[in-house]
Amino acid sequence: MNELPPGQPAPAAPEGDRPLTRKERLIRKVRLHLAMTVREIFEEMEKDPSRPKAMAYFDDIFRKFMHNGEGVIKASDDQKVIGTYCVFVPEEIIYAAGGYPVRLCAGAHDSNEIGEDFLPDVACPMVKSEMGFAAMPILDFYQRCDMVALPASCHWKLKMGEMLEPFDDVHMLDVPRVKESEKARDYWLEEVRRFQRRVEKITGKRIRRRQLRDAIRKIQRAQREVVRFQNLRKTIPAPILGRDALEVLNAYFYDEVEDWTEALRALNEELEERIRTGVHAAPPRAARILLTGSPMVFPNWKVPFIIEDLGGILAADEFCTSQRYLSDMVSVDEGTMGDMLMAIAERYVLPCACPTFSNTIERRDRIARLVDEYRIEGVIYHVLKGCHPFDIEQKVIEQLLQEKGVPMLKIETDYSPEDVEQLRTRIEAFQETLKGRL
Amino acid sequence: MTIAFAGIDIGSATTKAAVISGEEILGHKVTTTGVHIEKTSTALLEELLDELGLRMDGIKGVTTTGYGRRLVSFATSTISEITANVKGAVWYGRKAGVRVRTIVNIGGQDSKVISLDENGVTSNFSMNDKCAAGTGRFLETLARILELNLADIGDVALEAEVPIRINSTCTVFAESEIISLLARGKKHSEIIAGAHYAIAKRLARMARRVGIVEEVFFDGGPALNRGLVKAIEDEMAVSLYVPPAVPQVTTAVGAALIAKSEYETGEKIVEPRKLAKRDMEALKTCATCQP
Amino acid sequence: MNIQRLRLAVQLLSFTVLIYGGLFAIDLGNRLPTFACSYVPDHGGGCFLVGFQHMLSRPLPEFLGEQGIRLLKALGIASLWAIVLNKAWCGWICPFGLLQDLLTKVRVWLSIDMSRFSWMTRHRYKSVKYILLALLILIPLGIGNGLISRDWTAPYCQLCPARPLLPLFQGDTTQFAINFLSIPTMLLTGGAIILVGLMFTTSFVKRRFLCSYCPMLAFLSLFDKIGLFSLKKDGDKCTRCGNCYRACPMEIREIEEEKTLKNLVTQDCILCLRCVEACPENMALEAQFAGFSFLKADAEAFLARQDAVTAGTGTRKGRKKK
Repeated sequence: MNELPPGQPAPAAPEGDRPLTRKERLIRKVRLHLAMTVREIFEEMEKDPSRPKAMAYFDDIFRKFMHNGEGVIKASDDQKVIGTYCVFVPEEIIYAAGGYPVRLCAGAHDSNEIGEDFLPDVACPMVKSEMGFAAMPILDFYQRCDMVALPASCHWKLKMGEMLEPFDDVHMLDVPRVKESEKARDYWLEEVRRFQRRVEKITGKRIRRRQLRDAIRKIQRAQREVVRFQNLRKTIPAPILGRDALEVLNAYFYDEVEDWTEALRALNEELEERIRTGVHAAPPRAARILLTGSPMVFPNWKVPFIIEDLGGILAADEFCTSQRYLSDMVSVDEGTMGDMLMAIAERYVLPCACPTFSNTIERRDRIARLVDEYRIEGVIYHVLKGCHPFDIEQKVIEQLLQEKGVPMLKIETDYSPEDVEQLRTRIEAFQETLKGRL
Repeated sequence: MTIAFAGIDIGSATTKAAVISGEEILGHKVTTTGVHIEKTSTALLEELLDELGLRMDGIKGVTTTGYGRRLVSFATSTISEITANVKGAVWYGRKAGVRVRTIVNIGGQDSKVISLDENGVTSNFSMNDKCAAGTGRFLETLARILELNLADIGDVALEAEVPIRINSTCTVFAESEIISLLARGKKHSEIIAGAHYAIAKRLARMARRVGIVEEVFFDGGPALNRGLVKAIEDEMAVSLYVPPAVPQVTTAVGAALIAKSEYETGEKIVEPRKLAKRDMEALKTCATCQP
Repeated sequence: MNIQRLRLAVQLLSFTVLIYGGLFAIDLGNRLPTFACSYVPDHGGGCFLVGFQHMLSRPLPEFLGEQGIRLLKALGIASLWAIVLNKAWCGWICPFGLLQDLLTKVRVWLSIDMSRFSWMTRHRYKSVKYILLALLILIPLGIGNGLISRDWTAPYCQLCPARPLLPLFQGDTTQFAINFLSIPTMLLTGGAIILVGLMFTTSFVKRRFLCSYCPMLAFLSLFDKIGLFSLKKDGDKCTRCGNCYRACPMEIREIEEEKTLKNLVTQDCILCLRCVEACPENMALEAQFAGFSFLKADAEAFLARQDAVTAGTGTRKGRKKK
């Protein structure tokens, strides 16, 4: 293999030793920083001798971030790659047209600097990061996208559409806000159809019933393995650390779906073996924490690391980038084209707990269920700076948890590593008060 | 030989040590933290034990807390300063017959408000550890500009009938504001009182977010400042209980109490998985750039 | 257990018993609250509406005597049947319902998409069945008291599409005709033929289209709360995915929207239980008979069903039943 030191761009077109432009220097710097961040994370994770062997498959995907993201996605050269944001883009349609979906929601602090050219200071760090990646070639799969599907979910994503236009072919999806409105649901079905037409145009393939049904099946199979995985995570003591579980689910953004399903199946089998033979990843008394709020994406894992370094365990999460991304199946009733499209449209909106919708009941119920099913002892509510929807819902969730008698800690942070110590103090104090440990 | 326990509170500015045995505080000591945390803590504890006529092998547990808690190799356990503070405050309160429900702590570089439930367990807290405004650092700056001893400014503040309002929320800009007030010939006592009220106001805002329930316990080094106590009582509209012994050491005493309970129950409260090497390096660097 | 297969089996059995039962000397009585059409020769059981309408066509004073008792007895038996099986009569027994379900299978096999009414429209049409029920009581009373001509006798039976259609299964084509005796009979029996046509055509765009307007459904809905069959929902477990509404042939909104209502057998429910099968959350929906829970929403069963549905045998290549 071509052993480039991490972070170095592939050799540029030879023009002698001409000086690098400012842009090239910037790209080089960000790539280097990203490589450093990723390497630190893996050094950290490798210290754990009890890590399941099946994690190696998922590690490989993320290690490639150190090398400009080459080989992270497995699209063939003639396959159309469609970038997606948020949880609202119907991936079944992309698969049915033979496309390759890749979720572009980003967690790297290192590209924030580039994103800041487009956005105000107090902007959602996720949007800053993904704008950075879109504007400059740091991870090559961003530039590989033949089209980008962007739902107008929160205000940041809404305005990001125009900002992305110089870099990508953007298709905006207008997600309804008020689910009780029948016309809003009809409109969303129309938006899904409009998306379908656009995807067909860009891939040059008509989506027929069989392809759509097969696409639904592929994703359902992956979701079945996730259900199995999540059930294993309910075991106490935990067979796998939360940070590893996040990595597995995060890998779904990039990997080929059937390969990913197979790798997860292997991991599930290893976990079942571990449970049988009594190997666990965390002590039985480890405080069981639920993380909810603004999503965390690789490599922004400072909070999971803090929780688990302090002896707790991230037992479950309610993030749209991991556990919530792969829950709720498309439910096919009759198998006709209209039925499948309606099933797809409804699955992406109706049970969705995203706070950009007007009602909070889906989120409240989901968190209540998670607390019961995973025997959660404490909830950490994570809000990214500038993220209003999650910030607003915090009080409602706090009240719900008070009624259930579960303590909650709110933390507000961004992607920068500067506040790790402050977070650690708060999380440590929080874990100390759990379960009357005092 | 008496069984004793030690608690060391390693703050960014000062390190405090306390030794307890049974229900009594045997002694306490304060020193400047400096750059070498392990050396400072070791020396401090040894000096204190010397003064008390105790030996290290009589100390059955040493719990460290505060910013540098993980950098002391002879510590038997660590605990967050919030929990240690709570433990110490509730203990002091019980001795004085005061039911502590809220704790206000101002340290050298941070300030916090902790709310307790009826059982004396932390139910909510708010920390300001990002900015020097509302911390002991602000008072130090103030004393420096006015060329006064830090220990005296509280009494000077009390001389003022009506404080002058200081508008800047940032310590650095407040410094400029104070200098311009001096230049305009305003009374020192009123300026100092104004600075105290500015701190109190910030603290009160933080406290309101957490919920103010009496009795309110006030500790940390600046609690010795009577002018500050009055200002906070006014802004929070409650009376404060300040422990009569050195209020600076309540957190260290709390840490010692934790060491005692861990020894008695045989179980540690915090079981860290492992120390992240990266963060240890970061901590060392931060301790190095202390002014 | 695949409930829909069981239901189809029961429907076919009922159809056989009700249409051909007479050939085997089976007689379930004439007070059945379902379209066991009495016009079918050798029928195994009779629809209670026939007798009901005829009994009502008497002068009012007669109801204070023997006629009244006969009427009460007939209503009593029909009501007892209704309490014991309530809406299962519609979803599991009614021969007319079976025919619509079979046509729906043809539609799905041909991959023709269905359509739904808007919520407002659907809501407005709910009262039609009650109007029909009221008319089939009032018109016979009117006839009995000399207010309406005898041409309107058994008005609902003249209009009912089951009457021309079901006898065909015994080879009897005599009912499949318009009665040109008078204008009312022409309108009513002509209406019946139109309704049969409507049933065939609408089965290619809607499910159980005619059932929403059926006066039998209206009658049975009076027993929703006291019937032995009930449908329970646990609002806390519901993820509001809407699968239940999409699966429901009667387009009932309450099954999806309600979080607190205890018994979800609403006026339009035919107890086909497709909602319970479509629900992916354990225990969110539950069907009970006399308090005994016999079908629960189950995540594993849901997954197995999705596997079967998406299994690639296609709709046009001899798919297995759902």
